[in-house]
Amino acid sequence: MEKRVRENLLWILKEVKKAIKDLDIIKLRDLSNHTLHDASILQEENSIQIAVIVYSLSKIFERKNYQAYKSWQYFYKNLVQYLDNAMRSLEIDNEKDYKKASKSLIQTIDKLDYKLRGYMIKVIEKAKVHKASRLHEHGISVGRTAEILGVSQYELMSYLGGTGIADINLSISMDIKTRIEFARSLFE
Amino acid sequence: MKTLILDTGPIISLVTDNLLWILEELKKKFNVDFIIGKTVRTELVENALKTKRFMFEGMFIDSYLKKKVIKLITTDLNHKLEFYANNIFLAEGQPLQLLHKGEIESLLLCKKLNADALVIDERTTRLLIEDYEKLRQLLEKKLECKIKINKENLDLFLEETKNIKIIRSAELLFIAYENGLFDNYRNSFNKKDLLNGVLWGTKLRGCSISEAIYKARLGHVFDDNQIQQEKDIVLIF
Repeated sequence: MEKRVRENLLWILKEVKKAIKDLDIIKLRDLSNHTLHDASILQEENSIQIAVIVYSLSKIFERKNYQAYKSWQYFYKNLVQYLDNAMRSLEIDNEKDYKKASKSLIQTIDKLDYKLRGYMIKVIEKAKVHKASRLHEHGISVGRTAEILGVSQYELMSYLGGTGIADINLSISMDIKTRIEFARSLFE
Repeated sequence: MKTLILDTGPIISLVTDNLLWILEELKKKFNVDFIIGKTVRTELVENALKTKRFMFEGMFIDSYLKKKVIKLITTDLNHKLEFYANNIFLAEGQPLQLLHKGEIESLLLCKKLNADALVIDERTTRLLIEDYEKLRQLLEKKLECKIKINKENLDLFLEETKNIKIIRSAELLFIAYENGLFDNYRNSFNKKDLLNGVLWGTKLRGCSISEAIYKARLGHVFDDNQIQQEKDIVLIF
């Protein structure tokens, strides 16, 4: 793992731990955007994954009713453990253990109450599409972002339609009159 | 006969808006060939069939492939175009991997078949072909760093794609509208609302069209003698 990526991930995880303790949802959401730069440039899987995890956490902690589920405490305990293990492995530059820690967080979700697990899986799927849209906003094509985040282009296109990503001057590459005149010439 | 290569996006926009039928009508009326590549088919059909939400859309597109409204043509993906496209812009010394194999395949099909146009809704490929400088500025603004250009790869990419002309699903729908394919709805709805509904539908399903463009300029695409008659449409966007 590149030093810059590792340091960025470590900083994010430390801040995430604090934000979770303080139940600071806005901070969690902001932190999820901190890896977008590396995710766009390096298209590095750990940076992409952490963006999805942290955004998902912001959504999970936002919904207070999740905390009423029986397995919430189990999730919380394992989340803190994941953060500690992930930080430790980054500190000693052990990418293998870092990935193991990330995997254990996903395995924790599998062991939750049926309903809570279902909610969290949905939150993670939505987080992937949201982050894919942000990557596309940064200039990466729809096909490429869908591939990087492992989401379908159907999902991504319908999400993008609801954003204002296309509504900037830098998106315009040809006068609409010229394009429609060309289109007309194809159908004569 | 005109040949149009379709990327994944326009078919997704049309099928999710229940408007894929316009391809069949345009094909009949104007003798146009609509073509997709194998990677695009995989995303549109095979990958959709694996999901619950888009399974039927996958089946629907498959039926259009079976009745040859959309034709599948394969092309060799082992071409340097992907390398050129993904090694044009450099951020912090790192080449930006911008395009996907499906988009590259659509470009290669355009070249192979000497197609009349590429129908593509997504912004990055369009900007790279039509106005790479705007794409550079967009990358610079969003990534908040200096974006350098590898001139050699840019020139090679532009040389390979120089004859490719682009339209979007919005233009296909506009042509369909102009040629009366939505006339069945005119009894119940006025022209302004009809065109408004059709174009907003495709925009909200991911076609990269700017609201501002239509707001400012849509009126000018009509002939002079139509402008008065169609003026209301200008106002709605």
